[in-house]
Amino acid sequence: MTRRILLSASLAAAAGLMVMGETLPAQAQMRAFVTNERDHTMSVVDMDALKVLETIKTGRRPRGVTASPDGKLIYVAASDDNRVEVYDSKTFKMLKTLRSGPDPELFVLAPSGNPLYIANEDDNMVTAVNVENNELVAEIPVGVEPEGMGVSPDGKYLVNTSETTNMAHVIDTTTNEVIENILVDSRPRVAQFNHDGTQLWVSAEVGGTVAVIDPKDKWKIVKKISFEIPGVNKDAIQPVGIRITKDGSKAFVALGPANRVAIVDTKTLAVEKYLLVGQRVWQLAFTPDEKLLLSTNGNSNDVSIIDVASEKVTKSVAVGRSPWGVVVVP
Amino acid sequence: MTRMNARETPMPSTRTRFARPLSLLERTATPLRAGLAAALLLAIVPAAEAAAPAGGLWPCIQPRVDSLAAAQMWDGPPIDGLAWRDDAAVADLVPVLAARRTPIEEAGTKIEEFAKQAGANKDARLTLLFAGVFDQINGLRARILTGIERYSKHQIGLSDRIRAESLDLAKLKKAATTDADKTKAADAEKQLLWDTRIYDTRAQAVTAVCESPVILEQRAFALARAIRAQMD
Repeated sequence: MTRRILLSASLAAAAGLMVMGETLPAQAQMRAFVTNERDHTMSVVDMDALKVLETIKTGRRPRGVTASPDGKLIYVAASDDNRVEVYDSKTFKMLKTLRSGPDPELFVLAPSGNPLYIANEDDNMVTAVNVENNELVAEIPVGVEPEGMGVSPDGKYLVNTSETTNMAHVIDTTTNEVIENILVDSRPRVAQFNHDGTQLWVSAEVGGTVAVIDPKDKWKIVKKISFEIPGVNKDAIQPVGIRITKDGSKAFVALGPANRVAIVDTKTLAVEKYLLVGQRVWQLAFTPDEKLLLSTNGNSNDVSIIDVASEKVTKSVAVGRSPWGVVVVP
Repeated sequence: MTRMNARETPMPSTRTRFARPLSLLERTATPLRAGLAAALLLAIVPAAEAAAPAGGLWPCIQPRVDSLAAAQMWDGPPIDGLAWRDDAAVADLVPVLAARRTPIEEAGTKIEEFAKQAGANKDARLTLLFAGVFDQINGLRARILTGIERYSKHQIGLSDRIRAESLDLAKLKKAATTDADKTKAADAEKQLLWDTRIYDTRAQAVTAVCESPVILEQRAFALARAIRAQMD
């Protein structure tokens, strides 16, 4: 009897080791988390092997995705379940859910890691949630169909774009009040500050432009960048995701159904190059070392890997259906 | 009253979808169910009107894009005016690659094999191969767009007919006194039920039908990428 117990105990221990053995490699590697809007899943990509490590079942219609500053937590906006899900980036288990307000699409974490600012497309609000205790910090009324969310590196300013009003709303995070409305081109999608907070980039999907704004000069538009690709119809050029390198020298802009990522010199604000990636390129994310840039391609159901230094697309990794957002953790 | 042209060729993908309504009709051909279906009609007819687009026949959520742009999937040498049919190996391979029944992985292997045997002009011949694939898929896609519009036209015609039939049926039922009249009304009801079922099933299939141009574009893109990957 005792022997049997011992035996089963050791078997259980062995099984436990096997389970650990399976998850261990995941802990050692850099991982990308890609939300698949149509599959209601999130693909975890091993960034060394450039292969899908695991597919996590999420809430319905996962879109926005971000990571805590330490890379331990992954936040996912499950749009059709009206909640934010929090995952452990190593075990891939869902730890908790956070309130989000209706139809959360995109969100941004304060640089300190708390609170989480969420755009609610359906009720014209930005919801700020304390990620520790799920308490509602603020509900800020903004323009119609709020969409893109950006936060300044010092956390002082939150910028929300509203799809229908065609504006970027600047919110003072100490008072949670809108202090400036910047009129940009049609259907603004994404707002992104550079790392020293001297530029704010806002993409306009239908307008086909990216507005570069100077936060230090009354939030004035410095330039509207437009894009031209020979043989590609203007209508197909729909800027969405934006990422700027930490040294502030280069910006990458995803151009939707033009299937290209534009590389822009942040000083001259001139487009230097267009890279052919996948179909309907949507969001972008750097690896923490900024050696690689990933793009989610919603219609070709893959992620393109771009080598930042050589400015070349090196690989495509197949993920789920309609990949939407992406974040990479060390 | 617009009459449905019975000989109008449905799109291949809709043919199988027509198999179902037959059995459904048999199951629902009791007076109670027929009555229910007629009641449902009230809800269906306005939907039919809503489905008819104001500015054309295009029934899909996806915008109607007349033809694909090669530049959206290809950053290699230009393909305008290339006589790809003049290269026998290319001409043989193009229809195989373009055909949806060829799994995309298998297409990839065939492209690889072609590249290995392409000789000194490998890049030029791969460009020809893409030109052919693009031509074929674009042509097929254009035919599908026309098919979708024909489908939509048919639905609009059918909805008009259903509307007229339902009005006629109400009149027939009201006026039916003899057994012969009642039989006539029952027949009219049966016809109405048939048309409603067909309309309903076709309306449900629109989403899938509208996906076909998207699927073709995905195929063209995947093939372009596989061909480009073989070029130096």
